[in-house]
Amino acid sequence: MDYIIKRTDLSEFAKKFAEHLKDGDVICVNGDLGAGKTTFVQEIAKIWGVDGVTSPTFALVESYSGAFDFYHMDFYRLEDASEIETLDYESFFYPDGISFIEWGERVESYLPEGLIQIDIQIVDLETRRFTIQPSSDRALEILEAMS
Amino acid sequence: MRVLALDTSTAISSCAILEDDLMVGSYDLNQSRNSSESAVPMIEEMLSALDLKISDIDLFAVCKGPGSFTGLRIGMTIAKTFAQINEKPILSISTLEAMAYCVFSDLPIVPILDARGGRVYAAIYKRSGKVLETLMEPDLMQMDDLLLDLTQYKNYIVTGDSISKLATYFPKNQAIFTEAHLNNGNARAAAVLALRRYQAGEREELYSLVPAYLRKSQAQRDYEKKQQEVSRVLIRKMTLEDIDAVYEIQKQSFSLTWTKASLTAELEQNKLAHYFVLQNNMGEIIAYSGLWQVLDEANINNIAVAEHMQGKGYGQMLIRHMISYAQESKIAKITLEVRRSNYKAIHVYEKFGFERVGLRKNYYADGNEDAILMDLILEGGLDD
Repeated sequence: MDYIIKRTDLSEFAKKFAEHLKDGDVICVNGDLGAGKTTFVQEIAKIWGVDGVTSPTFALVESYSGAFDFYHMDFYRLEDASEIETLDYESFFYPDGISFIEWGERVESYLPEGLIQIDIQIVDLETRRFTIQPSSDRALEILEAMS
Repeated sequence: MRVLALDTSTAISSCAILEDDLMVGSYDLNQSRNSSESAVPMIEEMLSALDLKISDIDLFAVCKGPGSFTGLRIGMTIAKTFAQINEKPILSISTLEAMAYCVFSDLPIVPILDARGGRVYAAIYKRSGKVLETLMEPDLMQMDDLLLDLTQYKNYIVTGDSISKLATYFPKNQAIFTEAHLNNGNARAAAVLALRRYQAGEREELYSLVPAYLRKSQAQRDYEKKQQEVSRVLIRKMTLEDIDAVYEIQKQSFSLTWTKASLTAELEQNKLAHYFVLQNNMGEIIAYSGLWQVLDEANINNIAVAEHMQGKGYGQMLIRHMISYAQESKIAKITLEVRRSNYKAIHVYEKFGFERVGLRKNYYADGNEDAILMDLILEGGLDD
């Protein structure tokens, strides 16, 4: 399902999406540099009462605690997928709380099943196309709940 | 001989001191909130209560895993540091073996640790006197695969600190679960196992000791992902190239089929018709469906899944797709007819919110079966 979202409507869309999330969900946020992956996660974090979420490109993983405990990952700087083995990735990919993954395609073979995949495409400066892929049961549940 | 054993593989860390055949100290502590941070203070506290110094220990033992990644690194580092500084031997013990060693029974013993996502770390042992025979090596596996392996045993004993969470998966008349006093505190068993092995002449090289994370290799992961890719599907509009495949699926499903020519006409000439196919990653057509859109109403006129792919939810994916298509196209109502005898399909449509609105007598030309008419009223538009 596609959603065309203006920057001014992003927090409302983030809220509509986030209210269907629950502990154990793992969300892959896909899109080019500048598509707004981190911005989208920041908007969700704000809803859960967490300000100051920053891009975890250098730390690879940041963990936060708000209405939900959540992890925010960014694997952009990995040169080889196996570098992830220096991390406790099982805790992030099978979380007690919720996990957001940017550049998950870099570690594709390590990703768990049942992911919620969201693609963000740039339409123009102020507009993005959000696509929630119907690629897992959880994703289908969320799509159904959002429609 | 005095053995100090440490286990930080799971949420509950433990340490123990064994003097020959007497367990003089043991300490279990839930550390799920602080990742084994208190492992060293636990050891210090126990030593001091026993009026011992770390240099009084003759042999160090550590549970090497499987288990928590962070926990295993912490435990291994602490034990290796102690052994190195005090120039004493160290032996590593499989966490699952230590867990199984707590159980005295002739039945197969199945220690399990929750690895999340429907996966467990598990092994199968059989006790013969004071040693455990390995029936299945420690492995990271899907819970379902473990259960399949276990079907060969009439009864078996399951142990571990996550069994209360996982118990429901096991068949009640086969699995026997250990109780709380046996489900953690693996350091005690690790101390005994290490002492026996040391006395039997076993030695390990400090620098080659590493945790047994039991992670799958990347090659194994890539292979499995590829297998999954094959089962990934997508839904798209039907084109003329799909007609042969669709015709075959139709032939398997319906006694009355459309000819290839009429399917072609539908695609080329009928402006009201919208057909969809569901294909897998190999490009193979698995299912198709179609609807006719007249003003703000759509009628689902066709839906079928290839015989060998039925019962996997592909039909439902197509229905869901057509409903969202209708919503996007601002359609107000979806209608369909279904054979009165097709309870399964009627049930599925009802799940999606379709309601029975009528009956058309002798609708189907073969055998004059009645059709149930069903409707789904849509709120209209994307923004509901």
